[in-house]
Amino acid sequence: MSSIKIGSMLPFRAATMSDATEFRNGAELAIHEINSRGGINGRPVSLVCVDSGDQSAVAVSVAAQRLVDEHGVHAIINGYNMGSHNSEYEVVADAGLIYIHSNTLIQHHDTIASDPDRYFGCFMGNPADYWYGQGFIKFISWLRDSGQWRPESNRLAIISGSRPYSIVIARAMQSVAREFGWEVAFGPEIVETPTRDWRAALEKARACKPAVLVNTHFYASDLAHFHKQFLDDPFRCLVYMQYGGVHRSFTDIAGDHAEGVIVGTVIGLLADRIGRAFAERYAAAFGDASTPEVGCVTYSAVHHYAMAAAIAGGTGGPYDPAEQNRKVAAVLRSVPFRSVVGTINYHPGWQAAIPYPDYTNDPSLGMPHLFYQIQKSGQEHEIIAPEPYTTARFRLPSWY
Amino acid sequence: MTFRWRAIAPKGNTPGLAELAARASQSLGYAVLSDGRDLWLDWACGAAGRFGDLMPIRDALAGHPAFANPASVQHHIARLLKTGGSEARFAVSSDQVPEGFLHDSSSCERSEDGLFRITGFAHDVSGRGLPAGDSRSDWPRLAVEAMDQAVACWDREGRLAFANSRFDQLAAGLGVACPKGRPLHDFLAALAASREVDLAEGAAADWVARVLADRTRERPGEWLLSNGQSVDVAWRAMEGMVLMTVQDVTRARNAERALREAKRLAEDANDKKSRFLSAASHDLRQPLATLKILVYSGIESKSEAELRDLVRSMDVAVSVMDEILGLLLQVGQLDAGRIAVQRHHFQASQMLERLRREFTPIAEQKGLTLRVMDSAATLETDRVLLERILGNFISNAIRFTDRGGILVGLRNRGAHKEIQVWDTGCGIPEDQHKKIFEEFHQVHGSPSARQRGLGLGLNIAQRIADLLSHNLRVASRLGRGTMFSVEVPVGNIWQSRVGEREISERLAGEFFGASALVIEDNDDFRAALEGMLARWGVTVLAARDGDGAVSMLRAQGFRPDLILVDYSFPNGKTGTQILTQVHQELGAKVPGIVCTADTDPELLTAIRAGGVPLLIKPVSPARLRSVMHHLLYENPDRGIAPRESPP
Repeated sequence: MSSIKIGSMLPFRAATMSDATEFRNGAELAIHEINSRGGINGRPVSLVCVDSGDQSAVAVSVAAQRLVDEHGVHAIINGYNMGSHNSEYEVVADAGLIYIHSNTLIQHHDTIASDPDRYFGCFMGNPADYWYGQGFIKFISWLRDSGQWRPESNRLAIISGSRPYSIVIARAMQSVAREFGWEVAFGPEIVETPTRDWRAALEKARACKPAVLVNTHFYASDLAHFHKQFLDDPFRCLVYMQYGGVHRSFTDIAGDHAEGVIVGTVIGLLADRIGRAFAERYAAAFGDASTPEVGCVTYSAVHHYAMAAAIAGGTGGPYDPAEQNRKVAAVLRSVPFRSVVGTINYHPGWQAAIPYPDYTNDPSLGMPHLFYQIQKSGQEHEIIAPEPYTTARFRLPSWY
Repeated sequence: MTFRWRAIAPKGNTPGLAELAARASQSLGYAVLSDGRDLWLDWACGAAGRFGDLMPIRDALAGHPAFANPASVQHHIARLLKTGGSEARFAVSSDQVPEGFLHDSSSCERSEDGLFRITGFAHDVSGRGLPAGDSRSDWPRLAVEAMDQAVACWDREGRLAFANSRFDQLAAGLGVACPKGRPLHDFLAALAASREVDLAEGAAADWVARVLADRTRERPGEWLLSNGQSVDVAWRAMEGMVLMTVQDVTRARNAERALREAKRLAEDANDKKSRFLSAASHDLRQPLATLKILVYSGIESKSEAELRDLVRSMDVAVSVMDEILGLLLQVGQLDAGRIAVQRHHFQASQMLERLRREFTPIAEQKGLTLRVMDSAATLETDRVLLERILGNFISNAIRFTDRGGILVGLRNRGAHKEIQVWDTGCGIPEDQHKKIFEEFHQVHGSPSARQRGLGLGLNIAQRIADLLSHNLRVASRLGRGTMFSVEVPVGNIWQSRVGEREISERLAGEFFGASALVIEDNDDFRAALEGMLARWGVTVLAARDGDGAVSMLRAQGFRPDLILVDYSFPNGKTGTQILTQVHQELGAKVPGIVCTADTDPELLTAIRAGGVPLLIKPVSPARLRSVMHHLLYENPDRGIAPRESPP
C-alpha cells in the first residue's frame, strides 16, 4: 500500500538551519510513532522535505508547488516560513491540501477571513504573534503586582527586528502597555535583521533607563549576540527575548551569562510527564544536542493531523475530486488535541490555535503562552508562568 | 403497641422472597435475616420505648401468634416489593390476644447491592372499635380508613375511643403514641413537650388549654408543625363523643402565602411606579415648559446673538430631559429585572479613561476641574454596570459642587479596590447619609430645583451595587465636600480582557498605523484595494486621479507612508508622472508602487527602469504585502524591483 506523503518546507539556510533541522526531527519522530501503530487507517506515512531557502514569497511558493507536483503530498506540515506573506496558501488552496504551519503571524487570520472556503485547509498550529504583546505585558504586570519583582520604574524599551513577526509583537506590546501602567519610553526601534550588531540600539535604550528591555527578533544566534553586548554594560532591568532564546544555540553562545534572561513563546514544550517523556525519546533519537523544545512543534502538528485524518476516514491527494481533505479539516477544527505543547484547539474563524490564558481561561482549551527564565548557570529553561505549567519561580537576574 | 420492623431480602429472584413472605406470615415474624439459620426481630415500643435488642421471634412472641388470613399478608408483602410501599390490616391471634388487629405500613427500597430493604411500622390496633369482618358489613371501618383526614374519636371522659390509621401514622410520625384510652389532655401535653408543634417558649400550657377549649366549643384551629406542615384541626360533638379530624393543608397555606407575597410585591411595584411617574412627569414638565418659552422667544427674536443664547439655553433644557429619560430607562430596566450581570476581568484604566472623557466637558462647563487618577489595577465585575454607578457619583458630584473640582481614584483594600469620587461641594448632613440612597430623596437644603434632580441617581447606584454585591460608602462634611465610593474585587491580571475580541491585522498587524495614498480610476479596484489595506490596519486616502489626489492631500493635510498608483489614466497621464506630481506636492520622495494590467514587456521594462516597484493586476495580496514590507521596513533606498510571483 502506498504511503501517505506529508511535505515539509524547511529553511535550510545558516540563520535558521538549527530550527529547520529540529522541525524535520519532530515530524520524523511523529511519523515513526504513527507508523509503529499501523499508520493512518493502515496506511504508512512518509515525510518529504524541500528547502524553502530564504523564506521569501517566491522561495516558499516554489517549494510548495514542488511538493504538490513532484511528490503528490497529501498535506504540508512544517514550522515557520516567515517571509512568504502567505503566498504559499494559493498553492495549497488550489490543490485542496491540508497545510499546518507555525508562522505565528496575524496575517494568517486575515487571509483565512478573506475566503474561508478557499483556504479551508490552511491552519496555523500556534497562536499569532499578536498574543506575544499583551501576554508579555500581563506577565510583567503580574510579576510586579504579585510582589515577585519591584521594578525601578514603569519604563519599557522595545527593540524590534525587521520581520513582520517582530514588528507586530512590538506594536502589540506598545498598544496595551499603558492600560497596565507601563510607559514605552524607547521604541519600538526597528533594527534591520538578521544582524549581530545591536550596539547602537542598546545605547539608545540605555539612555531611557528602562525597567524592562525587550527584543522581539527571534533568531537565536542574533539574540545571543544581543545579550552579550548588553552584558558589556548591563543596566538594572529585566531582559526579555522573543522565542529564539528557547533554542539550545542561544545558551550555547551566551553561556552562563544567559542566566536570568526571560524568554516567551506561544508554543513550547511542557515540562510535565508527557513533555518529559517526549524529550527523552527525542534525545534518544536525535542526540543530546538536539532541541526538543523546537521539534515539539511539528511533532504535535503531525500527530494531530494523523488523528484527524483517521477520524475523517482517510486523506486526499492534490486536486482530489472527492475533497476528502475538507473532512480532515473539519475534524481538525472541531476536535482539540492535547499534545506535548498543550492543547491545540483551532479557533473556527481564525483556523489558528487559541492561546491560554491570553484568549481562553481554560487550560484544557488553549495552548499555553509560556514564559521561561534561564536559570542554573544557563543550563535550564524553567517555566515560570503560567500556572499550572510552572517548574520554578522567577528569580532576579544575575546582572541586577 | 407499635413496633418497627426491618427485613433484608436476599439477592435473587422472587421465589426467595416468596419464601420470606411465607415464613413471615407463619411466624408473625418480620425478621432481619442473619446467617440464614434463624429469623430475628427488631422491635421498638412507641415513643416511650427505645430501640430493642435483636431476639428470635419465638422468644419475642410467645404462643406463636398466627395470621387469620396468611394470604392477605403475602399479598401485602408482594405489593410492597413490587410498588415500594403498602398498608394493610390483619387479624391476628395468639395465646395472649385471642382476637387482635395489626395495622402495618411499610416501604421497600432496592439497594445498589441488589438487596430489598424493607422498613415497616406495625401498630397493634386491637380493640379500636372497628372490628374487621367481611367487606359487606365492614364498610364503616373501611370508609373511615379511606378518608384523607386523620380521624380520632374521644369519649365523654376525654379518652381515645378509636382512631383511623392515618391518625396513628400522624401520631407516630410526631413521635407521640396515642393508644386507645389515652386522655386527650395527656396526648396534647406530650405533643407540646415533643416540640413537634411550632410553639413559642413557655407557650405549651396555653396551647393545650386553647386546644381543649376548641374541642369544647367545636372551634376549628390550625396547627403549625415544626417540620413546616400546616394541619387544620376540627371538632364535632356527636352523642357524647367528640370527633376530631386533622387535615394537612400545607400546600394550600403555602400557595396562599405565595399569593399574598406576590400581591404585596405587585402593589409595592405599582406604588413605586405611580410615585415614579408622578415625580418624573413633574420633573420633565419643567424643562419642557422652559423649552416652550425658549421656542416662542426664538420665533420672536430679532437678533442673531439673542438667538444663539436662546439655542444654548434650549440645549441645556434638552440635556436635562435627556438625563431624566436616561434615569427612566435605568429604573425601568432594574424594575423589570432585565439587567443581566456579565462579570469579567478588565483593566481599571480603560473605564477611568472613558469616564474622564465623558465628564470632563461637563465639569469644565461649570468651571470645575475633573481629575481622574491613573491606575494599573485589574478589576473583576460587570464593567458597564460599574461605570453607571461611577457615572451617577460623578454627575452628582458635578451637580452639587459650585467651586473647586472632582477627584476620582482607587485605593487598595486588600482583595478589593475602593473607587472613590471626591468633590468640594456643599456636603450632606449626616442624618441623610442613609436616606440619600432611597428613591426620590432630595437632599434637604439644596437650594435650586436644577440641583435637586429626580432623586434617583443614588438609588439606581445602590440597586446596581446590590446586583453586583458591591458595597457603597459615603463620607461627607457640610460645606467641605463629599466622598462616594464603591468597593470592587481585584481581578486576575491573566484573565484581563484587553481591547477587541476580533483579532485581526486591523488591531496590530505589521502595517498597523501606516498610511497609504491610493490613486486608481477604476472604482471597483480602488474600493477593493482600499478595503484590503484597511483590513491590514492601514489608513487610506483614495483618489480617482492625480489632480484629485493633490487636492485631497492639501485639504486634509494627509502624509502617506506609501503611494499605490495605477499606470494608465483616461486623461493620458501615467502612474509614474502622477507619482512625480505627488512627490512635488509632498516635498518628499515617498515610496510608491505602480499597478498595471498592461503586460507589454517594453512598458514593464520602462517602468522598472525608473526604480519603482511594479505589480501586475490582479494584484496578489501576498505579493502586495511583500512589496509593502520591503518598502516600509527593509531599506527602501535600495529601490527594490521584485520579480513577478508565479501565476
